[in-house]
Amino acid sequence: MKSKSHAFKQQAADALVNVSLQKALLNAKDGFIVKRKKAMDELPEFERLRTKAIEIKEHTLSHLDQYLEYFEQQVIKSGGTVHWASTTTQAQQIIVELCKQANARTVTKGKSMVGEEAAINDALEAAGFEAIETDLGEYIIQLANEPPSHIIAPAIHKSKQEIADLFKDHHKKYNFNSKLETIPEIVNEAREVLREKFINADVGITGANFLVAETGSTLIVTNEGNGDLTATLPKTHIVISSIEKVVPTLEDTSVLLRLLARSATGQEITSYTTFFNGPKRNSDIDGPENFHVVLLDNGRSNMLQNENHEMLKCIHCGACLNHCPVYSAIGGHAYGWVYPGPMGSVLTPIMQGLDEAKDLPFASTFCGRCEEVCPLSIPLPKLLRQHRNHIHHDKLNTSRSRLGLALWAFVASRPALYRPLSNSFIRALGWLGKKSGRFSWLPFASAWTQSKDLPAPAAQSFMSAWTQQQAKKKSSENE
Amino acid sequence: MRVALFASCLVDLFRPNAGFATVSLLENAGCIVDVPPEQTCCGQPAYNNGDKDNARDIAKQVINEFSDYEYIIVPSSSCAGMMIKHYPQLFEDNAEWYKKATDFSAHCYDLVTFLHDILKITSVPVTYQGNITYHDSCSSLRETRVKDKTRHLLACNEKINLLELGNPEACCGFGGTFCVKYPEISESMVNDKIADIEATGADTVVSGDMGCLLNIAGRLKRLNKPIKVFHIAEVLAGMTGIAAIGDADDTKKSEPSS
Amino acid sequence: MNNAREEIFNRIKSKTRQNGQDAASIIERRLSAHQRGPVPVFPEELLERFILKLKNVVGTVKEISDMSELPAAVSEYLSSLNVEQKIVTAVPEIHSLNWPADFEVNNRAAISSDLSSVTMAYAAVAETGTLVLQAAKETPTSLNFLPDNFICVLKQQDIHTSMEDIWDAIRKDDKGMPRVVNFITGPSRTADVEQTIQLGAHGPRYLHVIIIRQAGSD
Repeated sequence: MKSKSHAFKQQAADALVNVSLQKALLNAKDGFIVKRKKAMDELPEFERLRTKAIEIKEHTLSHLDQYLEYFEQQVIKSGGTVHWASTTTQAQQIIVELCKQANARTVTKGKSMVGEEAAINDALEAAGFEAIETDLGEYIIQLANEPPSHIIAPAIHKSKQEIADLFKDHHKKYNFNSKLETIPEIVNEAREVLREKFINADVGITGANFLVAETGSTLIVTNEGNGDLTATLPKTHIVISSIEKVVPTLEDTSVLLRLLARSATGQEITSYTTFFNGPKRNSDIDGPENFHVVLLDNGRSNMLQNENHEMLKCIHCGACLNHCPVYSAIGGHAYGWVYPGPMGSVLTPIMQGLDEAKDLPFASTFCGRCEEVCPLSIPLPKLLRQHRNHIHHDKLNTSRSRLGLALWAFVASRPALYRPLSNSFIRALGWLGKKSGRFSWLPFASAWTQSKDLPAPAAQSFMSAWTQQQAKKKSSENE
Repeated sequence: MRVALFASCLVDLFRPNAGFATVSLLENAGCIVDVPPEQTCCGQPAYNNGDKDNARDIAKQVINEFSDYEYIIVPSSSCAGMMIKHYPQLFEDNAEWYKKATDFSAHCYDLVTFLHDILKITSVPVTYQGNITYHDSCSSLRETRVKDKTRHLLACNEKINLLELGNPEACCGFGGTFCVKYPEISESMVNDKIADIEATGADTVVSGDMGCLLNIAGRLKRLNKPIKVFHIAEVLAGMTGIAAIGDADDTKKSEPSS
Repeated sequence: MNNAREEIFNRIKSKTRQNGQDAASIIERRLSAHQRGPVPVFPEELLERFILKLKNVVGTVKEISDMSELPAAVSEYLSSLNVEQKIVTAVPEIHSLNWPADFEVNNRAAISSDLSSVTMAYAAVAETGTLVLQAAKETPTSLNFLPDNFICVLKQQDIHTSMEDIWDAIRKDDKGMPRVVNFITGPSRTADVEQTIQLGAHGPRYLHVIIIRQAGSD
């Protein structure tokens, strides 16, 4: 999808007054947090697992080419093919070409954030294929023609009623006409509609949570089982993933899996964790005849040695979104591209350009909860701050904020100037606000006073009162 | 023990009483308190807005002004975090200043850590009586990590009845310039905080960071809520006799006593 | 088609430390060492733990002492669900059992109209209450996902402690990595509508594990 991150401010403001969105966010608010905490409380090994996970990712990233090469060899040995895409356009071309080779009409898709990043659905539809998302959340937002608003719960912003309305409009053509009222009814209807798609699909596309170099395995974790039906039933299985997802061994994968589900949904493990290794073998009586892995770079290789390299450790669990107070106030769509929340505010400027996404790194109070819950301890606030440094350095911020900052810094770095200026400033304000103790409106602080009173400063600053007091003390000692 | 106080710009300008309360707590524990005169701000507004050059200039000035002290006390976790954790990071490319910054940061303490770990105080002259709730600033949770130490200090005096928030890990929405860059998001966050505060039934909310206090008080007063707002130093030092933050001063004389 | 592969590798190589031969031996050592990370410990016996965890994720369990008891156990389970006495399986050991006359046993992979399947687990992980299934002629993957009612036979001695034990077992088999390895923990579920958990999203609505107790165990 085309980035709308440049309009973040407006989108965030709109999100805050969107009644149904706010209701959905409220409903979602603490669930993930509570479930994650419970899972972690039951895992005394968490810190040791986290340390090991970091070691695994750092080691792999420092030998990335070799592990990718090893992975590729193993995929080839198991009868599959690896395709490489530097850009999202190349990824689209490869996948469209593979679908053409398969003479496909219907393509089912498991949930893949890399697939979202590469806008695979758009490319498939433009090439005339019917591309159907099969993860229920992804299916719902595909019907709504919206991007996901959460990386693991794509339709978290939609209410039951909105989903029922969408199904009513879109399922007429399959002769489903009953009015859906309950969640089981909604899930069942989706099951029936999508069951036909699974059966009739010519190509199934899934993502991969990890790629295992040792065995050439791609693996997915799901709860619905849609990924497995997508991978098992069609004649061709295409995996789309990105280059940083490779890990050395099956044992390493086990470490990361223990952290992934707990961090994401608070589950110890998802209902389905599946390792795929190539196409159907001679003795098999089901499974795909063709197996392709498309590996996307899209700027990741350039991150390896720059200051953003720590973001390559991300395992896309979504914990940083779930614990972000900004995300939970505005939801995912405001961020304007496929990755929302703290990880999105780091990734979007890298992948869509700093100027396009320059408001995102500032959409954080640096509360630090994201880094605290990140199973890989990615220093998200530090990465956001680095973006802010570049925005300031490249003069992408507004001239008004630059001027304000420059004036303030000029004074603050000169105590001899700061002291008298601040003293007279607060003396005036303190006098004005003395009666009520606060201001409900101030001309230069309207961004504050639009929703909050400003507690009035004291008429005399601490420094000035202290100096006076010390002087008094001294003179009384001298007398 | 001679200590230096870095008052922080917000205490200096908005809440001198918290500064005097800090001095009082330190003096009661036997410290001689110096307040080096050449102090303004720790530099966070520049640092958090990507202006590293100006942040460095301010940091250098703070380091120079305080370099002779063994103990530098800051009544704010946010400023203490800046000085302890981020000053060294500012000078990663400059060996001389990196060393100065790390030496400096080793001597910096937020007030709660200093009272708890170094002075090991076990009693506080609280005069406040009633039900309070405590807002942990994000920096006090994740930079200075004083959540438990704060509880220990508050528990030193039985007059304080602490009612914990339901969601104590949540940010109040201040975030420095965040709250004026994104006032609507900040409002939504502080509304959640206020709902949580009200749900405790406390009549007073206390915190260790002036930024959070101004933010919470500002919203409370806008909503005409009667809940009072104090800095933790004021409560611990028994200096809650003046108007709470954001409240009208109904006493004639506002100059604090120390 | 494009020279992306070369471009990507060149970019990575220019950015990671390369020590030639040395680096190659580092990764080879790592790949062959199969070093385990921290593995959670639990106090329960394997069978007890497996059942405990499986029940937590709404799986059901029946223990039998011998394969010959399987037809009765399957029949009883299907009756409890009030569904037809009819299964699909591809496990020779299962379809060759002595099934009741009115019980229909299909010997193939699953198709969409199949309501109930019976297959054999390769192993299980006690830590999480997880079944491990391999794609093979006798255990085609579609059996695990298409039918509404998924019945899986597990031998008690195949319950291992952790996922890591499964990797060792697969290596010990010395047949390479199976085409598909499924780790299945409970029935299909979704929380995509208002974060409310609903079972039977796309895969099985029910997961029933029939454990054949190890001879000599209680």
